Amino acid sequence: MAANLPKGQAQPQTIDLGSLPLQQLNQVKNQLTQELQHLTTSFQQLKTAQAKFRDCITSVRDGLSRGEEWTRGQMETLTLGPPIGTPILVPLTPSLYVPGQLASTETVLVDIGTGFYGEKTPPAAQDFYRRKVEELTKNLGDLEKIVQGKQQNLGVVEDVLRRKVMEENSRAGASDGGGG
Amino acid sequence: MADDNSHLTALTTTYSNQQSTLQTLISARQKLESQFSENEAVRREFDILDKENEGGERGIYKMVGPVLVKQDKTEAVEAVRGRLGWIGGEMKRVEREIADKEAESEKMKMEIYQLQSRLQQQQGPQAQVQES
Repeated sequence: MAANLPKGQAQPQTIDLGSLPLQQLNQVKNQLTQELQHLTTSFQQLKTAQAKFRDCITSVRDGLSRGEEWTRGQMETLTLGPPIGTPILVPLTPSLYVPGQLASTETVLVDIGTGFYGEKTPPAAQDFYRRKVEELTKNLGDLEKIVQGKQQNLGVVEDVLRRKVMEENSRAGASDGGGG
Repeated sequence: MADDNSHLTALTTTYSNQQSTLQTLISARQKLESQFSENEAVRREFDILDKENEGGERGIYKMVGPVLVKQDKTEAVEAVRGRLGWIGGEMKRVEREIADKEAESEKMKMEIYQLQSRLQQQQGPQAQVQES
């Protein structure tokens, strides 16, 4: 019986919201809320990823810089990184460390996705992470626009819904002084 | 009329089944899309790596279980290209399937709708009689 209730996503065209029955309006509202929730979570996740990439930039910059390589951009202020053989603590788990020695600061291995790692100089690695951060910034901007649009839609639907409920109530009140 | 009724139930069941297969197809497409963009990003990185690496001694590694295995660059590039091709083909296939299913369920929706309104018309007069 409830078979022809729409899936919601099949009809993003212009539909007069006022013409929809309460039940369907509610459905549309729920759908929008769900989408909004999903989008907000994605937004949050992108933010986290971006923060991680930023951390990587800091790590490479502060942990591995060798003075003579810093010729580019705003990094010129940094002069000297740790020499080879510097004692370090290597994290095995987040709470377990073993002592080690810095073997090389020439190159780092960068996770470039789908299981591949590329060998890069620290400045190149920073470039990589900066590119990633930029990409994410762009995506976040796009996503924000979508979220705003959805929020607006939700607002409109809620508005119509409220008006409808009020109308219904007043009509019920006028006809027999209290329906259900 | 009982025939119409059972017909309607059958239709709605197949319809909702179709909707759920459509849903799985859509999520499959989403997954393929994200895989595609990830591989695309890796391909771009390989190009950049090439530019950075004129001396030629910087390698590409692949994570195999817990170890990193050094990879031949041409091999790695080829693998990613192969994957992109495969994912692209798969995306087209899923896309076509989605279009088919959508058209099918649209048709079914109309059928259900017609059947429902016919049933309502048949029931309409009866209901009025019962009420009075």
